[in-house]
Amino acid sequence: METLSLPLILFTLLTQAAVGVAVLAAVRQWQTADGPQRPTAEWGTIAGLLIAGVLASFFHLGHPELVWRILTNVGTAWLSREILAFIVFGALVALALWSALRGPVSGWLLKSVAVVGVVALAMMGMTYAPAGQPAINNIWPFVFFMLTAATAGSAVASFFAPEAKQGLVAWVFSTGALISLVIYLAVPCVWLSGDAVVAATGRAFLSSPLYWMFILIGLVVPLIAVARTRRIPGWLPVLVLFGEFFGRAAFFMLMLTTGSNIGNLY
Amino acid sequence: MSKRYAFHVNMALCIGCDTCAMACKNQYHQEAGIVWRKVYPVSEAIYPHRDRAWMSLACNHCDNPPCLEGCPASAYTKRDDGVVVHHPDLCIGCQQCLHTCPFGVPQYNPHTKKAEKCSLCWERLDAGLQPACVQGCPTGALSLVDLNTFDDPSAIQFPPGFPHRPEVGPSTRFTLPEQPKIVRRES
Repeated sequence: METLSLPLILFTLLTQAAVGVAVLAAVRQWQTADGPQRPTAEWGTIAGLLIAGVLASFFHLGHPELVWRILTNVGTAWLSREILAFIVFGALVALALWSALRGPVSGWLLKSVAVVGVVALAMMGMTYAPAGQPAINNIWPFVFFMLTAATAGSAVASFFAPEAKQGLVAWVFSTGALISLVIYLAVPCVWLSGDAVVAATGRAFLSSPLYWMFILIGLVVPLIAVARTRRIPGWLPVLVLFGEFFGRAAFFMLMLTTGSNIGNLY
Repeated sequence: MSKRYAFHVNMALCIGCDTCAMACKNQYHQEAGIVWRKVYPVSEAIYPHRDRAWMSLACNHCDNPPCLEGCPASAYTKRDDGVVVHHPDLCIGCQQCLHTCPFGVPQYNPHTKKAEKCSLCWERLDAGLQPACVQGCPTGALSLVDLNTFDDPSAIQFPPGFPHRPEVGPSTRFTLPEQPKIVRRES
């Protein structure tokens, strides 16, 4: 059982929300003639989420004054690659914000932001797929992070979508939340049939209030709300982020390590 | 040819006295709650006898150390003799190594706010001495071997109760505990 790392929860959650909003903004602004009502506010929010997440991550480090060293092992360390990808993503977001202040954001920049954002999430997925945690030493972290980007990102993006596109954003959110619900309910059950450590991780999830709070607050209640109103209500993004917080806390706290089972059957 | 140092844990000789862990503690004076060497009891599911068996473990100084590969700050290096060394002055305290190691070896020190782990007493090795844990073991259960010349056919790399991660290549070798013998007196 790991300890709660609030900075790490905020870093992953806020940066994934930023990527989700950025991808949706890029797709919408690139594909539609009308574009968002408030492009500057939208890119400003993306930059704000990113900056808040990165600032939170500094509190996770024991020695933030040595943070520059985090890029010294890009050759083999996924964490180095993740930070490098987010630096590039941040630079592109800053460029998009600067462009939005002056007029429409160019197509190549929008496409670059979306692609680099997804690449950054892939790097993040590899960082949190360590060999010591067999339940997630695979593709799951990337899938989880992409789903968070889809749900939290589309929820926040609803603030900036024009009225005509609210239905589309609500559809993206509903689809993401529904897929999340199926995957998050299925994965711990699949873990139950794994080896001793993976099965124990599955049991830890299914018996954890954090996990069920996430399912309820982060997915079920928002899905019902969107199904009833056919749009994303103003309060829903806050609820989704709140629910995702519980889910991410479960992700970091409940993953068992192979080292925790030494001396017992695997 | 350079040496390739490794620990050899003879579980048949280990009595679970924790002297190796204490010797390590005496050598490095780690903060309370932090242990670089730990003696794990082997569960009855693996060794179902009234006698008990133990596994004394510290860093396994792997062939492909995931701590070294995963450390974003390049705070780990591997010496030519196989010893994986953590450099505290380069550590940024990101705790990534705590998750990447399948054996749960690196520990986070909340006082120094850095990771730390067994260094196979490389300073002692360089001075021609044995690691503190090996020197302290009263039964000879723990020894330092050179894998380039070590050829004990009974020694294995992955005993039951030890994570099976061949891709990482832990250097520690184990001799399994013996099955208990029953001596009956003729009536």
